[in-house]
Amino acid sequence: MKQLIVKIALFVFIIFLVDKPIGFSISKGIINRQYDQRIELLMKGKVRSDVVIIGSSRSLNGIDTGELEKNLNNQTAYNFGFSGSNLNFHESIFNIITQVYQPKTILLVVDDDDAFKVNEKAIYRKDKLFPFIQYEPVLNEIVKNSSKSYLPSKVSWLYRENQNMFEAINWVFKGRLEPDETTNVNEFGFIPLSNEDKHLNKLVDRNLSIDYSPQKEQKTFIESLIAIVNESETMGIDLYLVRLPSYKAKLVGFNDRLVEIVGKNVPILDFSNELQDRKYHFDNGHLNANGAKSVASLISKKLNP
Amino acid sequence: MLFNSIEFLYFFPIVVGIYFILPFRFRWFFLLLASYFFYGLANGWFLFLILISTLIDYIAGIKMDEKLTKKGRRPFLIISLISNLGILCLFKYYNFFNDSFASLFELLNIPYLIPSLSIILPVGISFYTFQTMGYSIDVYKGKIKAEHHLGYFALYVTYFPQLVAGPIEKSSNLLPQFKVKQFVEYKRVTDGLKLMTWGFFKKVVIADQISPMIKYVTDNPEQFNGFSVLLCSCLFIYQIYCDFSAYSDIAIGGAQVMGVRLMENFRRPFFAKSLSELWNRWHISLINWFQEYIFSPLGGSKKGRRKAYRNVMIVFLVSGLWHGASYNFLIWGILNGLVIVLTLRFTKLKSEANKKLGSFRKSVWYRRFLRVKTYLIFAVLGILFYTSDLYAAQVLGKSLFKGWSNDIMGIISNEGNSRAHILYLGHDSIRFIALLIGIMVLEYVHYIQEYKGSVREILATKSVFFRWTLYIGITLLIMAYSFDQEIPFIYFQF
Repeated sequence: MKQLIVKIALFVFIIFLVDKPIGFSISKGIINRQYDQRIELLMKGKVRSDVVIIGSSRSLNGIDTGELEKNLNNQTAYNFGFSGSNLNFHESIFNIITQVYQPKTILLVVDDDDAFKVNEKAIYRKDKLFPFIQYEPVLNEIVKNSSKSYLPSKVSWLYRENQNMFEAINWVFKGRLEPDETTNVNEFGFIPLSNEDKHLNKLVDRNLSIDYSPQKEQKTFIESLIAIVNESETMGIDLYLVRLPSYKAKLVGFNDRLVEIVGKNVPILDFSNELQDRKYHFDNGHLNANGAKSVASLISKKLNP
Repeated sequence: MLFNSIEFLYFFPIVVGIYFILPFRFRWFFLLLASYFFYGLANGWFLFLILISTLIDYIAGIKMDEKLTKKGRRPFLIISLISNLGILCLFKYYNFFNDSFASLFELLNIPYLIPSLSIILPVGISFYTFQTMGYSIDVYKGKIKAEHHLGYFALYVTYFPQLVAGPIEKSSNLLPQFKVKQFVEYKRVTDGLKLMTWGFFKKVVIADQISPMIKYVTDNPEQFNGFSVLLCSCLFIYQIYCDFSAYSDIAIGGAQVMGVRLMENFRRPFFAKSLSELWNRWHISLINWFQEYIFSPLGGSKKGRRKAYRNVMIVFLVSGLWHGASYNFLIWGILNGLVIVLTLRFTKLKSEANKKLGSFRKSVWYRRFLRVKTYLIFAVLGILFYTSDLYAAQVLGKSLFKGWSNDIMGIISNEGNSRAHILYLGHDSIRFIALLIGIMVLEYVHYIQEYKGSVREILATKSVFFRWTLYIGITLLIMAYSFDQEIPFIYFQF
């Protein structure tokens, strides 16, 4: 019995010794492999902007953050929009940022009719968080939103980083990932889209109005929005909900629904009826570089006292 | 609770620790509680069902014991069988047969009003009902005495290492072992832990890595040609083997740690030279069950050829249905039986052909050829197993014979990253190569077991440094591959 316990203890001790360097190597490899380093910059203290933008690709491509910073009075701005992400993921990004520092202002871009509904194009982007799991705020969010276990992740670095193993090996053989339209961020965390409107469905009847229907709304998305609102209030962060212009039929009643959910104290910056010209749009849901620049100017007018 | 879950990582050492600390007279009760906790964690309702099954078989067993003649015991056997099969039919087969009748009636334009039921299939139901039915039949035949201690009997039904996916144990093997006081024996405990580790390796490093590749193909079966379909089928056989035999290894190893010896469930099936030999090496406890309780009572192979063929077909038909309530499994069972019947039918022809082969028949290459042939037959039949419906199976079955040159060209040219689609089945090259290395390690271990004996015994002759490096390496690999999503064992659904 004694022999067994001693050997098991020794075995666990050796595993513990070997585990950390392997986990550390994977962590180094996977972070180096990423082209989009925004979370890493945040964690390293290199992003401490006053105004932070959170949302999906509509915010990543839809607000020219450099232009916004230029137009703001002595305030810096940074974009933490992630393509294909939903409100649960936005809540995680909010939590990660606010665990690191407290921005003065957060602009949460709300995806209009898709914001509270299941959409296969907008998911919880675990893949965007896993590379940075070595950081405690990121681990906390992954544990909350997946079956990754907290305690083993604290005990074993290898277990904590294991999801990144193959990509870390890929870094050894293939180096850093090539930038693509979802990762090629500039120094302000923004990705401009081309000014061509060839992706636009020009047949959309812009004069048509559609009433927003709360049917099929998911409780989990509403809870995420409420959590962001409550946390912002507690921390003294100025939170704005932003609706960006789109090249679609007008959505009527969505602002009322937002007020119903978050109350009247959260300002809604509604630009959904602005920039109606085709020249501002990349496709029906996303602004191009022109549109993003113009929206930045519109937002700055609202934010500047 | 899954063996490959973090919960089990806490559960198992705690249970083993308390088990050995407790005085012997309390151990059965503690193990029973632990087993109910293990089983009931997923769904408390399942516990209710297993308790009913336990009570019926316990009472039926005792009542049969009181009767001296088979005639006197028969009503209680019938009660036991009807209740077990009734539970199984209701939860596993009701909707399948009801839907089939509804389709038939619709075809005949006759109104059909019996509704389908919205019920969840209790985990491991096919395993524990077969185990308890075996017990009742053995008591009926007078092969064993009924167990009079309700606690021990309940433990026999619910013993957590083998409850959910076997091995399907005979009461004559399992029950007496609960009544023997076990001590912590270094060699037995470490051997059990090593077997469990090997099981975890097979599950997370091989089976779980193949799982997304199979899904990649079955999600869009129309998108694949012959090479990919054959590759997918071959990999699936490794997946299901590594998944199921891993469960058996963890179960056998876990029980061994506690001093209970469970039966062997797999014996290197890919070394089989014919399909019938493969079935003697695959899920041995179930095949033994069929042999003892279906094939032999029907007359086995002693009542003439035709009856032997019929009996083989019946066994495989039941085997197909046992695996799942769908036409895919039914046809899969029938085809397996058919291949074996055809092999039996043409035994003479085969021996004549063997004579012509002369000494080549005894060569290594001929043996390898037979093994590959058997493996490929099993793999191709596996299409029915891994597809969810007959349509997908039909699409993949047809694709098997087309587009080979396109696939080969696609792999060579890698145009538009076609290699990832055709060869890696959705993985990237690194992950695919890692998987192949895992399979090679598995095959090497099988080779040693088949020709040189127990790997554990051979390892015992190596230096401490070598052994510990190996154990630590395997443990680290398991940790590295234990991603955030635990993939349930495939056989849980049966």
